[in-house]
Parts: sequence; structure tokens; C-alpha cells
Amino acid sequence: MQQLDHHLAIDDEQQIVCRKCGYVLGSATRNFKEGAVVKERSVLDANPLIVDPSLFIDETMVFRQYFCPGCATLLENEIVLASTAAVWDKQLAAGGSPS
Amino acid sequence: MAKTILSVAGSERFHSQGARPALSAISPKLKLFPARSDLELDPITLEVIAHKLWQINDEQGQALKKVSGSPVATDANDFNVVLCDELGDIVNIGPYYLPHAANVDFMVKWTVEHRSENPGIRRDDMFLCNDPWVGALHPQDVAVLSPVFVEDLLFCWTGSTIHAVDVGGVNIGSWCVDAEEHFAEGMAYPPIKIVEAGEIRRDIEDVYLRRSRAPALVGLDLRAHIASNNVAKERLLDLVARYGAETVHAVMKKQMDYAEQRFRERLRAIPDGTWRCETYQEVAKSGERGVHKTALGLTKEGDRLTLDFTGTDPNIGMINSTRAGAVGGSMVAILPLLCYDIPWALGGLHRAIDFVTPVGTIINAEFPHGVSMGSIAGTWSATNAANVCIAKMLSSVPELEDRLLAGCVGSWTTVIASGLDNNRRSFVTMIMDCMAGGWGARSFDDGVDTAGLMAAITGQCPNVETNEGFYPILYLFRRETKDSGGAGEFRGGMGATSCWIPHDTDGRPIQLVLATFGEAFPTALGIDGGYPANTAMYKMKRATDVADWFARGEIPADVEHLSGELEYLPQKCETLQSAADAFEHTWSGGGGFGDPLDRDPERVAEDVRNDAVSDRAARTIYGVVLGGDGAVDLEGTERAREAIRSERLC
Repeated sequence: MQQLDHHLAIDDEQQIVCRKCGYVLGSATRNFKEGAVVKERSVLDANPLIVDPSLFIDETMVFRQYFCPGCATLLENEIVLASTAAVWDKQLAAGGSPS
Repeated sequence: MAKTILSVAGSERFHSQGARPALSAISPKLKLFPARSDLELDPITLEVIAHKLWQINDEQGQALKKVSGSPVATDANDFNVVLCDELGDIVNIGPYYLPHAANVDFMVKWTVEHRSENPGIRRDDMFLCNDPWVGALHPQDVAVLSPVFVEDLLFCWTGSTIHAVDVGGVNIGSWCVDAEEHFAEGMAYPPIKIVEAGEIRRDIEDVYLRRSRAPALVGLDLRAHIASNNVAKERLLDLVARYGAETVHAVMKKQMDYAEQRFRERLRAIPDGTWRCETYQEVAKSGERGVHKTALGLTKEGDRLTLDFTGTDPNIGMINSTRAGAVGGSMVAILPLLCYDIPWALGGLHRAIDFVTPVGTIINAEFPHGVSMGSIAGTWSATNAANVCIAKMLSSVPELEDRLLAGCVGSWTTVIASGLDNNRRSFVTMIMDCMAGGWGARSFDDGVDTAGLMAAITGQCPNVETNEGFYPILYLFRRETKDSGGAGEFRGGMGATSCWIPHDTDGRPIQLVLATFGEAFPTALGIDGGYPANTAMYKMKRATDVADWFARGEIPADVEHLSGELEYLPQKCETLQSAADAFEHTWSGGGGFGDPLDRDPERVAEDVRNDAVSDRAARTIYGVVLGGDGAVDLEGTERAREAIRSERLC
């Protein structure tokens, strides 16, 4: 198993798995977020101190959260423009071991 | 409608890439000290001289602080000092504002290439430069570069950079929120010979200071630069006299080789892969309301690192950096997160790093796009992106994950204040309180509260009393900000909030120029499920009853407690603060690490008791239920957390 981050690992079959519950999120050649449960929330949910963004900007930013479908662990958050696709933020090369 | 900015033919030669100049580009008038790669050094001599170089670099910084009269340098440490080899590769940098040092190599290399023929580079000359396209972060960051000669050979360079409080431009402090393009900003000087044969050129000094609203202070800063470089030069020549020029020169080269070797070893211990981050700035100048992306893909392959900013948005407004800013900003994250036990000899480290910085973007602007906020806009966004990418990379390495930091201090909340005090003396300054930013959480513990800036390791938040002593302002409070640390299994460090009113101005208002980003959404990001930190915020409560509070012998603890009209000030603006107006600014904490539902409930309860986390956040984000006595209700907490997990999968 190669650690991908705090919650995820890549197993010997090159599948991304949850380190807590073993749920398989998909191939290591794909963004793990494609296999996660995603919730798109208001930026206001990201921190109690945020005020209405429309005071300052015209575009819509969103707070996206990605959860493990097996154990509901919060895997990652994003704050991005609403029109933006999920960022492929963690991508180990094939094999995934130190060079 | 945004003004169209036209390219300026001929400006290309100022657009430095930071590359080591080809020998063919250097005038034969300038003789370089020959490198001796074959010179054998015994390890003790090498260590003694290497430590002496660090000591000289340290003394260089101390000399600068003793001469500068600007609290920006003396109290907040918004400066840095470097030693470079004969062609500008950096051997030592000081522990002050890192981007000030991490881009001096750009300026030295450009100077060697473009000044060696005319006006020539000679013993006891010094060159002043604040041109962002040559290598400064923005025009306010003024560098003075000093060549060091041994006999008639260029041996090495010393250099210093200080943030000058004003170098001209349409807005005070040279933060030109109203500028349409660079021509309305502080004048950018490509390297000019400010000191010739040991004497300040008065004509050049006058040209430089004539543009400033604070010529006395900026003139004193110039002498601080010169003193610092003179001290370093004198110590270096003492070292040469004691150990020989060839030996000292060889140690400089070997320090860079050693740093490169250790850095490559570290990279080889990390799996190959790519980590990405998209981060944003909003509001490119006063009146603009857009959102502007910095995209970074960080690829580690073998023993090389590539930082590719392809996908970053086009240059706009005042928020752009040049390539030097993108490189310097990236190094701010690379140095502490990957090189914490490796000499910061950037000349060696850079051999293992490639930077892809598309021209015409907010991290590599074309001339004459605005750059007056470059140091804390394009440069800062590069730091934010590199910080997150490196943290996610380290999260994949069990042996190195304890070195990661989630996003730190997502933005700098610039506050420039100017006006007249009760003696009708004018003042211009930058309030440096947000040096006390919160650091990101670690993989094993919370981030450090009000720790400082990743960019300024020894940066300091000035004492309230120092600011009140220098300037006609009176603080109502300064405190850590509840909920400013991003939630997570480990919480981000808290940022803070300051609030002050004009004091002893004989009723005259203070003029403020404000420039930040991350007010509409947070920019200190969490990782691995950690939440982001708070947003930055500028608030003004107009025409308050603060005088009545003082008459009662009371001090308000929050602007909300004062009467008056609350105004949220935009990210880039100029405004007036009258005697009864209370100005409050809040800056960013650090992002969190891990799922907040995995946080020990007892730590959440402790945070609530310590005013670090609100009851609302404890309940809704951490799923922790507290009893009336503040103790954890374990059964209630378990039920609340299960309910949140169920809601997550609906």
C-alpha cells in the first residue's frame, strides 16, 4: 500500500482505497474525487466569520466537500469558482514509490 | 470597462528570467574571479568559513536594522540581506522577509549583464534597483547591490532589500489601488549606480527621493542599505585576508553544491507525482469586482521539482507579480517545508527546480501592467499555492508528513496610514500588525496561533505602544480572533484583529489606503479534510460614541459595541478616518488538517473555554456537544457526529 494522503492509499491493484474503511474509490489513474460523495455548499459554510461574498464580488465561489462513501470521512475541501471542475490535486505516478 | 494596456516596445530587455548571464554577455572590462572547482578543502576549514559566511550575513542584517529609522524594517523586519557569488547565485540569505532575498539573484544577474560595459561595475560602487521586471517584488521593495572585488576581480556580491514606505505613485504608500497601469505607480528604477567609488551620487539620490512622500525616512533606509553592504564587504575582505580568496570563493561554491545535493536527496525520498492547487485573489483594483485564479501544478520526478503555473489568469489591475515574484513566492514555501535542515543556498537549490511562469498572467505580468501590490498579491498567491501543493505532497510520505503545514496566513491586510499629527508633522506608514498571522495545522498538532508569516520567519508584529508612540493613533484593542483557525482534526492557528481611532490629530482625519484579498472567501486553505481559515476583513464604524466610552472610563471590546454606521470596506480602496471613526482590520489564521469529526472532543471544549472556537462551530463543524459547565457531553457528541456523518452521505 502506498500512502496517498492522511485518508487514502493506493493498493497493489492500483486502486485508491480509504485507509479507515477500505472502500475503493477508483483507479489510481483517476482523480479520487470522482469516486467520492461530493457536497457543494455555500462559502459561508467554510468558516463562521465569512460575510456575504456578494458585498465584494460578482462571481459565485463554492465550498466543495468530498466524503468517503464508505465511512463518511471528510477527505478534502475546495474553495473554487462554481464553474470550475474538481481539481485533481493528488496524483501519484504509476508505481507510486520513492524514486 | 477595463482600460486596454498596450505593450511597450523595447521593454523586453528589462524582463529578467533570473538566468545566470552568459560569459559572452559580460563586458571584457569586468574581470571575474575564477572558480576553482578542483580546489580541495579540509572539512574543518570548510565548516569554519561556511559558518563565518552565515555570521557575516547575520551581521549584515543587524547593521541594516541599526541604521534604518523605519519601523517597517526595524520592528517588523520587512527587509532581507544576501550574499551572492560573482554572477549572482545566492549563497546565504537572512531569516527576514524571504522573497526580498529569494529574488536578489535576478537583479544581480541583470546588473552584471547590462551594466558591466556602461556605466561599468567597479570597486566600491553600489547599484539601486526596485524594478519588478528586473527582479523587485514591487516598486516599494528597494534593493541595493554591492560588488565585492579582490584586487581587480569581481569576487562576489552583497545585497539588501527594504520595503520603503513610499516611492511615489497615485496613492499613498505606493499601493496604487487607483492606478490603471504601472505608469501611475511608484517609479521603478532598473539598476542605477547610486554609490560610485564609495560616494553617494547626490544627483541620483535626488532623482530617487524626489518621488517619495517620505524622503527623510526613505533616505535613511538608503543609508541603512549602504551601511549593511559596507559591513558585509569589510567582513568578507577580512575573511579573504585570513584564509585566501581562492579558499573563501571555493567554500561559497561548495555551500551551493552541498545544498543542491541534500535537496536532491530529499526529493528522491518522495514518490513521483503531481499535486495541484487553484487559489484565487479577488478585486484587481478599486472598483473592480472580479475573481482571479492562480493555478499551480507541482511535479516531483526523480530528484527534480517543477512548478508550473500554466492555467493562471491574465494580468489585471494592481495584483500582478513578475516572474521574480512567482519564483520568490514559491521559495517561501519550499525553504521551510522541504529545506528545513538544508542550507538556504538558493544558487544550489535552484539547479533542481524548474519554474514555468506564463507571460501575461497575474504571476508574470507584462510591462506596463500594475504591480504595486505584487509582493502580497501575485507573489503571495504563488506562496499559497506552493504551500498547499507541498503539504499535499508531504502527506503522501509517512516519514515526512510531520513536516507539512496546511495553508498559512492567506493574505496580507495592507493598511497604509498618513496625515498630520498634533504638531502638524506629516507621517506615512504601513501598519504591520498582520505580521501576527496564524499558521496552518500540522499532521500531529494544531497550527501555532498568531505565529507570524511563512514569508517572514523573524517578522514581528510591532507593539501596540510602538505604533501609538510613532503615529497619532490609539488602539481600542488587539486580540486573537475566535474561529479564525480552520477547523480540522488539528486546528489552524488563530489570526488576530486590531481596532484603533485617530488620536491627537487636532480633529484632522487620517487617510488610509487598504489593499488585500481573501475578504470574500478564505485563502488559507486546509488540507486532507481540514477547513479553511477565516477571511480578511476591513471594517469602519463611522461617527461612533467612543468619546462617551472614554468619558465613562470604559474601553469598548468590539466595534459592534459602539454606536454608529458599520461599513465593510472593499479589498482595494482609499478612505478617510475621522476622529470618531473606529477602524478594525482582521487578518487570516491558518487552515486545518484532517476531518473535524476526528478531533478529540476535549480539545474542542478547551478551545471553546479559551475563546479560540465558538459554541456554534463546536456544534456544527466539530459535532461536539458541551454541557452548561463547558464539559463534553460524550453521548450527545457521539449522536451529533453520527447525525453529521449521515447528512454527509444523503
